Amino acid sequence: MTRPLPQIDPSVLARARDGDSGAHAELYAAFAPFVYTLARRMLASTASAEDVLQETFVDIIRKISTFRGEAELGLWVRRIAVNQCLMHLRSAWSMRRVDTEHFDAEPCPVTTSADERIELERALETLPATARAVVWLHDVEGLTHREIAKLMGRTASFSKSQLARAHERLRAFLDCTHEVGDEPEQEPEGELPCDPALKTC
Amino acid sequence: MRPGTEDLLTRELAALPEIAPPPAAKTRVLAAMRRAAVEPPRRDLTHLALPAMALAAAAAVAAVLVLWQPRGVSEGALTANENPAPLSFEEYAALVARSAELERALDTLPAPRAVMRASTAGTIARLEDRIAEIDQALLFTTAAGAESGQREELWRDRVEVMNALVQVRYANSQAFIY
Repeated sequence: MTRPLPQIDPSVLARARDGDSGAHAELYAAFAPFVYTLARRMLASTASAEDVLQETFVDIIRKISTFRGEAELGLWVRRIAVNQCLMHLRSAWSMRRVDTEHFDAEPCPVTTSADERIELERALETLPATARAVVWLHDVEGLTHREIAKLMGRTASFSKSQLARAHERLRAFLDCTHEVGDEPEQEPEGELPCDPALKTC
Repeated sequence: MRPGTEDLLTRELAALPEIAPPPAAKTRVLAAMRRAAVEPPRRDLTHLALPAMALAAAAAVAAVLVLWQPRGVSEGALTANENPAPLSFEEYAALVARSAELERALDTLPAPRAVMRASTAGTIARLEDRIAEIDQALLFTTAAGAESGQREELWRDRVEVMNALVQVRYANSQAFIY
């Protein structure tokens, strides 16, 4: 399954190449949510995603003259954004903050949220950074293991094993939250059952 | 939870909604795009192998200067924050010299990139502001004839903040050379 790529009129690209600020704004409007979503999902950090958003658009402007139109513009933009995310994950600052390789056992999170989307977002954020990036690139952006391996400077086997373990972990997280969420509601402790005669309602 | 098939998990992941960037990001990103549009093409820099190497060498020298500890001042004297022992005249002079040395190291670094990470720009601005504050305080304490301990503390702070600034600017200049 692949996320749809934003489309843009080719004339905008030509104007952006000439430094037209209106075209820059149109490029931003078309691609910013796409790039920001990718960065938020891969990095699980608002601040980092904002950095990547800016760096991606700056890179687009710097490299726009090299874009020949042989591939779809959206794919080209996505490649730049993914590279920026991976550079961010590899940066010393980021390495200090996140464990990029290891799947440490975490206690089952306590949640009673019925919103599965929010649960899935939370589950994704609990993954180690590399695993999260692999999941997003493979499952949502539609990259192959070979493509992911090339981007990350790893082997396809590495990508496959990261994905398998990440899926396992996501399922465990979601199983866990549903077990809690599926429990029948109980009467709050210490409260009397409703009885009009006793005026406890 | 739901059935545990990978296909379903994948579909659910793909169905997660798009996230709109914060509205404030637009102005910042468009400004960065404008600056990038008027910057010289970066490819030209990669073709200038010799100048780039010279620049890298200068930056490396700066890095060495950053790591080099001044003679005559113990590491403890530079880093101690709680009730520091009074410095001798030589130690005090070395602290001031170290600050000047870091200033020179900063001058040898390439000018900051016109376009950089918002977080880096913020860090540089905060460090520069802090240095300005320390300089103000040093002027004030000197004019007011304050105790030498206060001035020593300020010079220690200045060296630490200058050191941090040189490191950030150095890292920024390295990102420029590739």
